[in-house]
Amino acid sequence: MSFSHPMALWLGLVAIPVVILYLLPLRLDRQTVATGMFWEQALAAEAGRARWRRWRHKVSLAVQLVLIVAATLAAAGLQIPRPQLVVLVLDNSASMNAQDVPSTRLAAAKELAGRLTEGLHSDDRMAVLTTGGIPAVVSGPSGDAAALRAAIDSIRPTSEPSQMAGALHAAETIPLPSPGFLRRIVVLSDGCFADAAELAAKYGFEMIRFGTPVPNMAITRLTVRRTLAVPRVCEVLIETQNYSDRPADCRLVVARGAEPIDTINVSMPASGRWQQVFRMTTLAGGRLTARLEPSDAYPADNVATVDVPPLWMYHVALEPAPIQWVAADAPAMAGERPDNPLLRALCANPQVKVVDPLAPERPEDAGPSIVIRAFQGGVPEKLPRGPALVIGPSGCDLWHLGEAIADPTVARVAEDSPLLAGVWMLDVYLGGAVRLEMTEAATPRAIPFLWTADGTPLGYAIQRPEGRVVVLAGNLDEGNLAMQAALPIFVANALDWLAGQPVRGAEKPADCVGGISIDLRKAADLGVDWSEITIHRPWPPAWLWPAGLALAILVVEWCLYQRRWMT
Amino acid sequence: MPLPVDLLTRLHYLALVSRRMGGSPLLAAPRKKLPGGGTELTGYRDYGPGDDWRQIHWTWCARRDELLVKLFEGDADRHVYLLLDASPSMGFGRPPKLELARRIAAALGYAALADLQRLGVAVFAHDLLADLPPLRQVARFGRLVDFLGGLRAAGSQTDLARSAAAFIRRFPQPGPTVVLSDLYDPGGFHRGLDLLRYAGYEPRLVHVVDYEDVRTGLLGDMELVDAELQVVREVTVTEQAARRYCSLVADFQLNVVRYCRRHGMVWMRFACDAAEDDVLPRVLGARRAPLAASPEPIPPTQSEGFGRNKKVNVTGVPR
Repeated sequence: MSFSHPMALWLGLVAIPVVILYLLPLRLDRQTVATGMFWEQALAAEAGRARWRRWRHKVSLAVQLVLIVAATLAAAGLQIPRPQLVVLVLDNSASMNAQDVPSTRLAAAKELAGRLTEGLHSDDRMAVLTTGGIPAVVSGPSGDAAALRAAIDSIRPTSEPSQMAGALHAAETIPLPSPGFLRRIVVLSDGCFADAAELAAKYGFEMIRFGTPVPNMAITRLTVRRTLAVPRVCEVLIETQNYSDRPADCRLVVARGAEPIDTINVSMPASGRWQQVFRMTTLAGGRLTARLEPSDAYPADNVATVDVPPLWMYHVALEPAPIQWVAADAPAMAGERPDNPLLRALCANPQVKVVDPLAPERPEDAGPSIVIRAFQGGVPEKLPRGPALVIGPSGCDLWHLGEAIADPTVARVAEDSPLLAGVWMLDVYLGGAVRLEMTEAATPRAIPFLWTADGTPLGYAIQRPEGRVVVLAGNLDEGNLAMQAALPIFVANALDWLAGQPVRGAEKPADCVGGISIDLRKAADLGVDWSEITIHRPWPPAWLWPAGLALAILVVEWCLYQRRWMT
Repeated sequence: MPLPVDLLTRLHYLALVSRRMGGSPLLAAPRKKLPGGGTELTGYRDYGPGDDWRQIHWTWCARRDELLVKLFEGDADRHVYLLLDASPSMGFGRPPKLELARRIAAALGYAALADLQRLGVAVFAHDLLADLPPLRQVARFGRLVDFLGGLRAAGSQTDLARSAAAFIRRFPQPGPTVVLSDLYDPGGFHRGLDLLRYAGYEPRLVHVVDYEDVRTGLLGDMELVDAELQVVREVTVTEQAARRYCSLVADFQLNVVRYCRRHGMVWMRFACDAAEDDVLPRVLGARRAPLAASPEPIPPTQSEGFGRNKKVNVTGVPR
């Protein structure tokens, strides 16, 4: 029992003068009449009420005290039971998307939560939290059923696991509207969250459970990556999991876009997994979709999608043009093993097509492509727009040549540089290297990635607005880099970096995009099932009862007063 | 309380008018002839021993030589009595009922004395409290005024029967007796009036009422003081009791009317606050009017209600 206006309890002090007035001797009005003979006869019939008349003042006092108490309780806003702050923790995690109940578990939970708002007493307040992903307060404490229902309707399903511990902690820290409120945490969940028993013991929440433990089959992994040797070939890894106590057979349908690629019969042992890798050739890439059929209670993890990145083609315009340039395509030249080591490195890359530097227009191709200029032994005074690979530079608008470097051996590398992914460049001798002095405009954008022993930079990666530039201070003909296996890898890395693509080898395989896989058998058996919940219409506010009692007493007293049963 | 000075002038005028209109109905009485008395010659007879020789018709004796005596006849003395209630209940009312009763008694007394009647006055309450020996001649009106002026409401509970018995003993000569009272006799007013009737006193009734007694506004707890008995009693007057009280009072007044009608008794009812110019002409018969404005009291009706401060007119007599 509590009061919304405790200060009104002081009204109860009115009882003190009432009792004092009762204890004081009652002085009756004295009325003198000409004769009492008629009054004697008139009052003779009232003699039967003498017993009642003896008690009526005591009864009147009691009734008046009851009236005062009732009026005081009504004015103080009596609240029986204590008003509650119902913190509704609604689980909108991925598992709540299971369809083992009509519609989804989340829809049933939202519908029940809406009905719970109708069961609130007028003095009660409700707050709504969600647990999917990061716990969020959807609605602060409010007694407005319409606003609460709107807030509940706005809850959307997520594909995140339930963060029940954080949500319960947040529910525990929501401030009470007033000290008289009783906190009550109600969890609407399927029980698929960790440490359910410990959390129940710690927070003492009431749980309404949705759904039952059901078997589930899920695609747990769908990964795609291009092979290093043949980039146009992709390796696809598919893994499925059987969250069931029985073996399961199903079909796995793989499609790229709307085009079906393959249908695989999958047999999984009880609580086991199935895994397979297959290859797929594609230049343009696209969205790869894997679907388990038939569907089960949790269809969200039956589908997984992954975006296969397109394969970029690099049209490299080498300057000066090699002597062997016969306007043929690079693979043909690669077969002739040209003398130019840079050209050899370019021809070794299946993504590279060496083009005429005088007409470096991008040809029509199946996939995306980019034109990259490669300068060897000199550059124009003003470096042209677009990405450029420069080996053995001359002075230009980005740098000036300094003195020759006495010992151009690479002694230190930037290990985190994408240009050096998978490349061992230490102790590489870059003969003919000269010191590169970056102009004032290029200095902020120039990042060295190779140094000599004395700290002189031997290579720079420059991110200018007109296009990226990679420059090596040495000359391939005078050093030993041309004879190293690192050159083609470095060139490939440089081309990827210049094109703005992730460097192969350092790239991560594309993972599946879909619902997380959940073992629906691990639902905690807490609380009561949602189908057993009955919502009762709330009683009128408790203060109405004493108010009604006070009013009834007033009416009765008034009637009795008018009838002179009480004075 | 002394009677007003101008009352004598008004009574004189009213008595003249009344006489011309046949006199007061309250004082009306058959004239009784008294043989041998008076001055009216009614005949002659032979003289006998013992006859007053002064009555001998000497002329006839000289002519016929016979002794005849003249026979005279005159009006017998007519006694009229005023039996005035001075019990404590008569002291109630605004003005007190006794005040009106005194004025009516003075008016009737003046008319009776002016009509050469012998007037006896007695005051009663629980017993005969005081009396005025029979008066005659208007010149004695002053004594009557003095007697009435010295009256106060006193005594105890009204006992009309006992008072009537004492009155008969005190005034053995029967005569019309005007009883001026509120008739609040717990033993019943009819016993006293019956006694007077049986003794040949031809009672007439002037019923002085205070309508405040009827329109009781008493409700709730109170100490009820009976003015006649001086008894204090704690009572609770409920609406039902108040309604029963009004009904009893109405029945009482109705019984008074019925009693007077049954016995052919002249009666008048006046409210204590009635205007003197209205009361005295009617009492003296100077204005012919119904004996009562409304001889049948109207019992209270439910629709009139019984609010705490609401006066209830149970008689229906307009004030």
